[in-house]
Amino acid sequence: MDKKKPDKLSSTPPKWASRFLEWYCAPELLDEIEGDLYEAFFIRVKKYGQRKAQLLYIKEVLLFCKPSSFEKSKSTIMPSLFGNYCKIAARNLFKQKGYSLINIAGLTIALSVTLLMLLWVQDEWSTDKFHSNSDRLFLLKRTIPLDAGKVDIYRGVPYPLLMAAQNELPEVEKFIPLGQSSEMTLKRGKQIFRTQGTFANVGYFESFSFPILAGDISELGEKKEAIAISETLANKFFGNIWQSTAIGETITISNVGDFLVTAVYKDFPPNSSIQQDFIYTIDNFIKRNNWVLDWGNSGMQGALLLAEGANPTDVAQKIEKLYLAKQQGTFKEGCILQKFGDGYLYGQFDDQANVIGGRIEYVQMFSIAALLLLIISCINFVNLATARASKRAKEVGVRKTIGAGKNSLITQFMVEAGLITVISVGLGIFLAQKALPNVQLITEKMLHFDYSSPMFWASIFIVIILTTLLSGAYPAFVLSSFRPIAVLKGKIPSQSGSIGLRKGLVIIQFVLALLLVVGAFVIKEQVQYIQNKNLGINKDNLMMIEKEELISAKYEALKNELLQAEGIENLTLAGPRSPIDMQASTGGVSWEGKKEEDGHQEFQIFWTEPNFLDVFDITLAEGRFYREGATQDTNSIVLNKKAIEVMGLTDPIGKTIQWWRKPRQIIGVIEDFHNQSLYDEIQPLGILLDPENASSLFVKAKAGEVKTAVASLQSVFNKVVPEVYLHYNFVDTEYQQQYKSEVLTGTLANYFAIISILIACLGLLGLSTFLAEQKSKEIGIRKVLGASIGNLIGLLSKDFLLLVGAGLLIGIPVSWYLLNGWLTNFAYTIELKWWMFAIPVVIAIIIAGLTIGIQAVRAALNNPIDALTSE
Amino acid sequence: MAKNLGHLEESVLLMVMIVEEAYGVSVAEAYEKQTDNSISIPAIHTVLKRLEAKGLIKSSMGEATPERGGRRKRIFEATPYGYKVIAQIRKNRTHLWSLIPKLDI
Repeated sequence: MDKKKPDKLSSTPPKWASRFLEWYCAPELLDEIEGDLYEAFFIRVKKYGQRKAQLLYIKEVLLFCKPSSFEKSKSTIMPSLFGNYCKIAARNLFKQKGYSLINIAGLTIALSVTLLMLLWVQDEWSTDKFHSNSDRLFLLKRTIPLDAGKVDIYRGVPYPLLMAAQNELPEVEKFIPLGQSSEMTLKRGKQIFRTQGTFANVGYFESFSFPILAGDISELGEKKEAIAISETLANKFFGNIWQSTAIGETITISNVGDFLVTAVYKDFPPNSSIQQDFIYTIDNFIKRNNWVLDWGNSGMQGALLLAEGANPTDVAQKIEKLYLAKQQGTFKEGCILQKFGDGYLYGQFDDQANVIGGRIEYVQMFSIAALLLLIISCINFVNLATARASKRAKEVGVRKTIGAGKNSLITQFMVEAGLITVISVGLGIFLAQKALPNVQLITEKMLHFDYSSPMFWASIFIVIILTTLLSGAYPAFVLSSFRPIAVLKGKIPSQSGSIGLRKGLVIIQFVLALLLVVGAFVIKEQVQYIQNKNLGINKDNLMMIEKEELISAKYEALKNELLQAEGIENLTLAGPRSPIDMQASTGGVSWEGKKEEDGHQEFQIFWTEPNFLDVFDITLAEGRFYREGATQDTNSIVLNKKAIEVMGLTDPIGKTIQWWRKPRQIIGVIEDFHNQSLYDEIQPLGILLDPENASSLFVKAKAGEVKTAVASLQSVFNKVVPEVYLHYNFVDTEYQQQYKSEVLTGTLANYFAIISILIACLGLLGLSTFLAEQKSKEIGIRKVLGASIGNLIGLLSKDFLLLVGAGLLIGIPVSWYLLNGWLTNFAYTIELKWWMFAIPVVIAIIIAGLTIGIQAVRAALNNPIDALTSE
Repeated sequence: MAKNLGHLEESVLLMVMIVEEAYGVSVAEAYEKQTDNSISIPAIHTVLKRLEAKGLIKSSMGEATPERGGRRKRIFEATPYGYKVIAQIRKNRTHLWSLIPKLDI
């Protein structure tokens, strides 16, 4: 055969593609396939030029890569020998119980973590994606212009904008108000329940896929006193005969009014980010809160159901047009649409309104951590298998001599890896099932394995294939490549390649392990920092009670009684919500010297009464706070330092600013306290004297007397306002709630850290045991010649400790870089300190040292005669 | 007879009959020239293999040439059965054409 290529043609097809083709293609098919591709290539060079011809060549090489082009022999031998492979694999498994145990234990742990993580990730992914209209459901969000073309994204939009979108644009089928879900007290006769609910319109049920079980939802739009309740709530109020009894009955929501039950809906599925036990008509809400009808108020959140085939980008522009027409001034707010199903995982935007992350970052972080664990345990398998390759060299030699091909040997070793994987997956499922209740507790999700679903078994299958390939492919390749003559002559094949690889893999294991341990440390520190940070406000021993009309009506009496009651130190009305989680803000503030080009500036608003500073231990910086009984204070305002800084005022006391188009005199300045979560900076704040507007009653217990205070609270409420169902939350508990994902991350990071170190050390144990076994003769001779125990231990453990050390050294900068990135999410963070790296390093060295050392000591203490008499 | 002959299969079969020395590249070239459609080499191979399995064509290894990097060709040739099938298809078509009442070409 003439292999010479023609000289006149300078261009050739890409070499790597040809090599790839020659690698996968069966030899008997190579002539026609490669020949045709080659010939076609030169024709195409003339026709389309070299570049296109090369691309086509590569494309067709890839297209040919299918089973029909592969070697036939593999598949024909497989079935008949498969049983034999399994038998050999099982025998090997039992023959080397120790190594099998190490492999299986590591893989089992890693696989159970992986399975649990898959379960959680799958649950996160499915959240809000189950609506049958999900491709047409969009969240409407508001953009606020900052300087230099940047924008801030807010969830709140003006309610009239939602209505206008539906009424004026044919592309918008329905608008769906998404009211803040709040806990309310529901009564019917003597039954009282407290649960989550909100208001909505008919579009809500017509757009989302929340099935109605009884009644007629359309009345939610017609009657001002209609309410729909969940199946669970219906069961509570009406028992299991609710289907015939619930509709048409009256339920009272305290502080809101009486409602007729017009529909019962199926409980919202657990993977819905919206969970409501009752939904009353939005008309009722608007009747009581007509501020929502103002274009300047963005207190409502909302979603839209677009018409079939509508382009969301165009629709967003049209809605923005509607919105712009209603605004004055130079800095106008705009709006964007985000897919409803994406809202849960992708909640964060950059200053150009592009999605940059959100909860998805946690999902990714944990998926990667689980994958790392799996890799660490697969590395154990690879290392042990290649280290012990010499033991099986003779077997390979004999098999090859008898006539086994390389492929059948590869299959045999892969079956061995597969068997260990299957056993580990089985045990892993068992372990994961055992750990599931704890995981449910930690993640607060009712996760469960659905053994009847084909998806579950499909993912198990994929996990098995992936793990088998990851752990078995390289050893199979190494073992099957031994030359029979050499190994049968007793020459152990040179393994410099796989020794290097082994060292590299041990280093990688410890880089990963250190990353996970340092991660656990730093996350824990940050979580603690958040929990103990001095907020500039005292949140301890404080109970928060929603202010109902009945409480307002008898507030004076209530206050007097409570102040005299045992265990109670003080109380105040404040709001909206709580001072550490302020939720009302305004842009309607102007002051002397305010420049239009400075852009938009939001100020937090808070209403309270004169004793506010005492209850929350907030320090006054300048001037005075409101005085008891001073009526002229209704035209005054107290600002925080940040607000003064933003306004650029010097000597602010006595100056007048415009607040909501009304002049107000600054009477005092308070020290800054954290009025937002620590993800955000402290916001400028104005505090107004207006207890009527405050939404919550804060009761401060004396230190150490919280229990007494709760008892007094209950008895005073029973006496003064017996109609009110007392419900309180502790402010510091609420505060911790804000950081639930961080606490969860911290807890999980701890588990990951411990498990990763454990698995990595299991691998070290296996390797050092093997090395000690292999070197037993050397040790015997050295001992006979007078080597000390210390010398021998050093000899055996030095190499491994160096590897561990190298891994840790590389791991430090890697983990520093990654964790620094995580910390930039917060506006207030801890600094990375040297000891956060030093302690994990020391812990890792101690554990690794012990693992190796025990083996080394055992080997060194052996009687040299035992090792030397065997030959 | 020839119940399952797709449009592409039929065209390729015809090309094998038309082309003097029919192998992957020459069939693809002829196909592109006669039908003005482009086709990839893997697709041609698949169709040829299918035709061979149906017994419409048979193949043998040919000579190596330098344009092919020294690789040999697999040369295809229509079997008598292949000719019979294609003739049958033609007959069916002609019959159907003759049934169109308003055809005026």
